[in-house]
Amino acid sequence: MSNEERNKQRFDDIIKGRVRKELREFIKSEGIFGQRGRDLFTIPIHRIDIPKFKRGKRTDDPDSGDGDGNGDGSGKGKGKGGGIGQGSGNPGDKLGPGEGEGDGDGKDQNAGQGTSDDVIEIELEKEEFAKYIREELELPDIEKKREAKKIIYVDEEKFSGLRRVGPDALRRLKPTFLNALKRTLASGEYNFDDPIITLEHDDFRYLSWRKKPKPETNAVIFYIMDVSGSFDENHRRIARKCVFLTDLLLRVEYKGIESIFMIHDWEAEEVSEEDFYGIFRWGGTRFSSAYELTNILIDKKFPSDIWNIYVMHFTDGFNWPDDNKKCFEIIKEELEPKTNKFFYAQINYDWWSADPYYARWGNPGWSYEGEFLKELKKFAEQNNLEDYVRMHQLKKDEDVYPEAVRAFFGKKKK
Amino acid sequence: MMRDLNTKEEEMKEEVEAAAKAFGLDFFPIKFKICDFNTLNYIISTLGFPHRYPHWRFGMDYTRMQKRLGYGFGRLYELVINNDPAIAYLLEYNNEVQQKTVMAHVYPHSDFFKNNYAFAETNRNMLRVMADNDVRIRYYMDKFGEDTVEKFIDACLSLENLIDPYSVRFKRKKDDKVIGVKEDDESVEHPSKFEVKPYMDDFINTEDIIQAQLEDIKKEKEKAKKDPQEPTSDVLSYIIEKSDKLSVWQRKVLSIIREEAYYFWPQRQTKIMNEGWAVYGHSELMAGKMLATDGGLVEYSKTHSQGASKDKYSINPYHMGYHLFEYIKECWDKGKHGPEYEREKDITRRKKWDTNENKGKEKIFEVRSRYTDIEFIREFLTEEFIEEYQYYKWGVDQVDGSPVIVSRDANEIRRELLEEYTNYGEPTIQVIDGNYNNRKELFLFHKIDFYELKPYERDKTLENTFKPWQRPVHLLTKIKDKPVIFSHDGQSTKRENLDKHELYDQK
Repeated sequence: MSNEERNKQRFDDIIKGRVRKELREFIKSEGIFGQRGRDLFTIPIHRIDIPKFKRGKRTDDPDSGDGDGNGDGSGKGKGKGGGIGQGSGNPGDKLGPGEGEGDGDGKDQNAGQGTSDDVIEIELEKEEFAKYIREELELPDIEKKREAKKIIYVDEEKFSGLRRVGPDALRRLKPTFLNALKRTLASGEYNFDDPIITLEHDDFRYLSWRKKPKPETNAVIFYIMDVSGSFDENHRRIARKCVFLTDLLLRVEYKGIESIFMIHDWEAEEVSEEDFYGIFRWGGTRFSSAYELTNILIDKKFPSDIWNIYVMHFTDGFNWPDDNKKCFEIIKEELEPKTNKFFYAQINYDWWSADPYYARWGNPGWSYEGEFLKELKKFAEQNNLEDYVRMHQLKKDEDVYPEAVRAFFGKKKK
Repeated sequence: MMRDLNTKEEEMKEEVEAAAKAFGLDFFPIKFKICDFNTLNYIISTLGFPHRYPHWRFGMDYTRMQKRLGYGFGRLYELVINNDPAIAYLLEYNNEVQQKTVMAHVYPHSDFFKNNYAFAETNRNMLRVMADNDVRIRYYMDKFGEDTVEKFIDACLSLENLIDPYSVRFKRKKDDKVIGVKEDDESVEHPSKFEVKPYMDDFINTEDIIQAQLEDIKKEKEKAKKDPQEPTSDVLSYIIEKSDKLSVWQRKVLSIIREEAYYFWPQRQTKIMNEGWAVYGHSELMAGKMLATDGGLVEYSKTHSQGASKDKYSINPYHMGYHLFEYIKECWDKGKHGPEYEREKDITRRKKWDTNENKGKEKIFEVRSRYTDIEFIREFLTEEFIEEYQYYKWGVDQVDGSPVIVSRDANEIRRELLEEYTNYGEPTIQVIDGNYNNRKELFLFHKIDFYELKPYERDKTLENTFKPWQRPVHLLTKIKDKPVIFSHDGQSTKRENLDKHELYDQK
């Protein structure tokens, strides 16, 4: 391997090592959750460069000093907060943006972000990202319960046969020439003493390819959201993160995974993804309504013999007490045989640990586990469903990764 | 892909070379290589050396370059290395006029390398040295493990800028190495006396003189015990010579890094002048000699203006250097210098000033060999020039934090620039003591010069200093005008705030 290739390779390895190491940071940052619907993530990596003693702030700068040891407000060009430039204008005039100017702001003390020069943006495939998560959390392979029979068409890469139209790059000279020869011979124009062949439009032959059906494993996931009043913005944000990571992890295994979104209070209904996060309602809560609807949908649209099915329920755990028994019945009798996994994510936003404003006073002894979670645990133990029913209680954003992901996708507890 | 010139390009080269000679340039023989985009990017990332030791940093620069310039067809690249013979790289797909311009740009560069005093001590056989280093480091990697060696290179590169640019000019005396005075050397303990008649002795060799001398001797002796005797800015060489923990290969790696740092340093010292001279040279060669026959004036102007344009937020060295050389030539052609001209205050008369001195060309050739950037700016960046080319000082608006023009005062601009170019933008770090705490710990001292150290880099670099030294390292610096000592012992960094420190008190 030449030095050139090696250097690139080493750099890529280092980047990947960094991504792996700072995975938690990336997932914590909101930025990554905004990048949906793409195959690539763009991930900013800070300070990959070799550190050297460098000039920082001026000694007479009132802001000078250590900060928190991480945020330094100075860098090149604009980030420096002063310098010499060139152009027209009087003292006091504002300078517009320069061309190709980085947007590092010198005053940005706490963000820990340097100037644009310190940041390298790298692109990472979703699949690779998911792989890192799996490796980091040592998640086992996702078990496929059923062999899929639904067929997804993919382009086969092999060429097969010839055709009359196509791009020049795929033109085959030998068959083209043979065709021309045949035509010339047939028409009697061929002169054996002066064998000249003129190619005509119809003589050209190009490689062709065809689409070959390839079986692909099928999966569907039902996201169920409790939209009763107590389930506010904070809860939904955490839910969104869970959905994102679940989708990421499952999509590696099932290329064409479908998502069904469902909301419920007393009654359940199927909604679009937007409504899933957007609808608020007041009313009593009955979990069984959602489970029933899921069951109906499975029977109607997603026969369990050809679909891998997952169910994920976001709620705050306040169920109509008399309803619990019915819920467990449906889970045991209907869902368990038909679906691969049942994820129960109980989100109880804990202001005292999640919000620095409240954290000042400390948690006044508030803790809530919820009847449903307790009973679900008992139910799972009794019926030996601990591997099937995965549950986790989330209290703040940081709980999503790694705890919740580990609880849902990790190894079965012994 | 890299190839030599073809016949047509060879002709172009000869044409440019003849013009360069006619202009009076004095350069190394130049070998041109034509590269495709990727190869050129790679060569730029290793600063012009196709055979350079392997390190991921070059891969990073390459990736950055690819991204930044990926779609920039028709851009001009030129790269020439300070070597004898000089190697210059051209981009394959440039058209003829562009290629010629780039060639015309290369000749003055090589002329500058050959004649400027800052480059006098650089190794002119660096191409070969770099290739040797490449082989050597790859041998180490095979022997001691790729990771081990590369990690160590990382640590060494952290200290890359801690060299003493002036030390290349010192010729070290042989007995310099014998450390000063010996303990049992009696002779020095006696102060020297002026030889006078005995009756004058009391008046000339008075008690205080004797005392002062004794004091000096004592200091001298203490100094002799100290190591280094004088603070040294060449931290790298100090570590190479004095560290007793380095293995042979580590010492060699450090020496390689240091050697390369010294080799590249003069190019940082002369950025403005070097580029300015090259642009001045190519415009002289192109406009004067060749374009009349080519008729490619439009193409040329476009190419030329790409390089030499203004920048709102920083100095474009091409632009500033080029116009400064032009300006110097004009001044010395018209005699616009010296006390008489300085005394003249009337603007119209100043503008019309012309003594037909016609020494411009001579002067710029003198300037290109005897100045570096900092002297260049100090001497020639006059009020007149700053006004004509619209330089300003900008800062951040107090209210909304947007950039705003602060001042157009020539003195302020010059001062700002000089501050920026003092020690070429690097902080001055010195080794004060190599036996700190009497435990052979390294004590570094940041000689404060308007700027504090960047906190994140400071901590990381201190950690990296530990790696070659292998004993605790300390750094004395100032934060908010208070001395602070940072100490790193291989595990953690401790911070000690002081009220004052003697090193900052001596002026």
